[in-house]
Amino acid sequence: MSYEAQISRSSPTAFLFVVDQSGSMSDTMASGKSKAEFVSDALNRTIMDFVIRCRKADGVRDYFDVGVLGYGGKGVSNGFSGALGTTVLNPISAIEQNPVRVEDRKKKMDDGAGGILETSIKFPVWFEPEASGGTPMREALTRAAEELVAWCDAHPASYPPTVLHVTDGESTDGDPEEIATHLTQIRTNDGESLMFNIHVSSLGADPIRFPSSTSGLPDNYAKLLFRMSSQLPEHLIRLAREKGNAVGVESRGFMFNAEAPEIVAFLEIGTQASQLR
Amino acid sequence: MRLLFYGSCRKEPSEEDVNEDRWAFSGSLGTLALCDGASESFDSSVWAQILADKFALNPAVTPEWLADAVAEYASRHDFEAMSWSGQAAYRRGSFSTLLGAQHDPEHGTVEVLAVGDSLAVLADSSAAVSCWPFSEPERFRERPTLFATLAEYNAFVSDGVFWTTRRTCFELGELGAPRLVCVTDALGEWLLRQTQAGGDGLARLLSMSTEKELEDLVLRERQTGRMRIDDSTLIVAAFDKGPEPYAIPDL
Repeated sequence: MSYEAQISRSSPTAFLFVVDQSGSMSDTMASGKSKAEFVSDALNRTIMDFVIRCRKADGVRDYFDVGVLGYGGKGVSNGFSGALGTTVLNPISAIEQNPVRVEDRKKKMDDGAGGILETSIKFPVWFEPEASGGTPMREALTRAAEELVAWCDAHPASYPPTVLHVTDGESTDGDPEEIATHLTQIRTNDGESLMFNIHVSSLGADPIRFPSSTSGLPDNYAKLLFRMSSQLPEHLIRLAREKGNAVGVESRGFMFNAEAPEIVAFLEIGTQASQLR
Repeated sequence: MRLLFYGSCRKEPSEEDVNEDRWAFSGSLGTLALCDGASESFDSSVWAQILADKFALNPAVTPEWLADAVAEYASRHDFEAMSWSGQAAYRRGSFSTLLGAQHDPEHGTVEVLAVGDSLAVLADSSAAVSCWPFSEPERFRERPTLFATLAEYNAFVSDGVFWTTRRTCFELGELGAPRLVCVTDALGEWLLRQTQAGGDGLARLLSMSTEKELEDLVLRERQTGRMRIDDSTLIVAAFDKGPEPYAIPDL
């Protein structure tokens, strides 16, 4: 059986985000933020959630290695900087120690007596929004595959890595499908790497969530991203259903025309590995 | 009530600091508590120990009882001194099951309270007489309601059916050699599957005399895939007067 390895400090898993930073990511979403700003917020929040899940009273346990690759006008680059910028996949304890900055943000909370209380929370930032140039998707996925090969060689018994690819446009450096197929063949003893794709939109069109076939997908670009996406393992099917999605055994980790809420929901589901000890 | 056996096998034998199961026992009060702290929690072993100790001293669980436990948990942490990640993880809370038993020698009963999915089995000569809160192994796949260090998750303690839905009374009455077997969820699921299949799992647990024997059993069953990997704790209690194999300090 695949995707059942327990996650522990001696057997961590990896999450690699591949983020489109092309010029069109500067388009504005309904919230008033650009797609690049919203994606970077959602990504920072997801990384913060990783840290919190691994943070115990006695410190941060290295259950996850996490990396971000950005691609756009500057080619493909490490989305982390500073002490985290020398390698793509970093242990979660190093990530906890090295945000670019920690912002104070306001959050509304239940005061326990029927009222709303505004409280200040710390919001760490690791990844900054960027939007310029073309969409070298092929080059980015090639770089991701190189990272995954090295990681799987070093962690043969681990739950396999998950790649979460966030994009809003078509590749400008050739067909990425072949690379995506290769990427999902990179494996540990617990299964093949998972690749989930999310297409970010600001057009207000109906989102398509976790499709199980190409029928109903609007164009060849959507069909390409569908083919590039892994089928959801059983535990993610269960989780997606619990969150109200209609998913079947052939559903793939793919959303098309995702607006802000879908992006958040997609990252929440896509970043749950099997059993965290 | 006297304890015949206590043993625990960590989910990851190589990680000595990772075992969130905690327990407490009071021979004089006839109380026993087993708590399984949730893995994805900030400090669930401390939370589990607070709940277990509190139940062993005072098994009358009420909203105030739980609020006191939450206050004690808070008093053990210095929120202001924590880093951003500590504060964020602390805010997320800690969670634990509580399986509590109280022996009533006068009426020949054991009252069992179960919050979450730790399991109590009343046994007589290696045969299961009653189980609580589940008797079907499939129930362990559900998401249990747990005691939390965050008040907003504990409202269920205040509803009118808390005690009626979460407690049972085991009758010791005519049983020849009654034993109370308390286990955390991975061991509980395995035990109910064994029982359902007519296996000798209960007899094997009742025959344990050292923690090493329990570890050997758990590791073997994990390897075959018959037992989930999780902290696995077994406590066995008897209700007659007799020697205790372990010097277990009373609270």
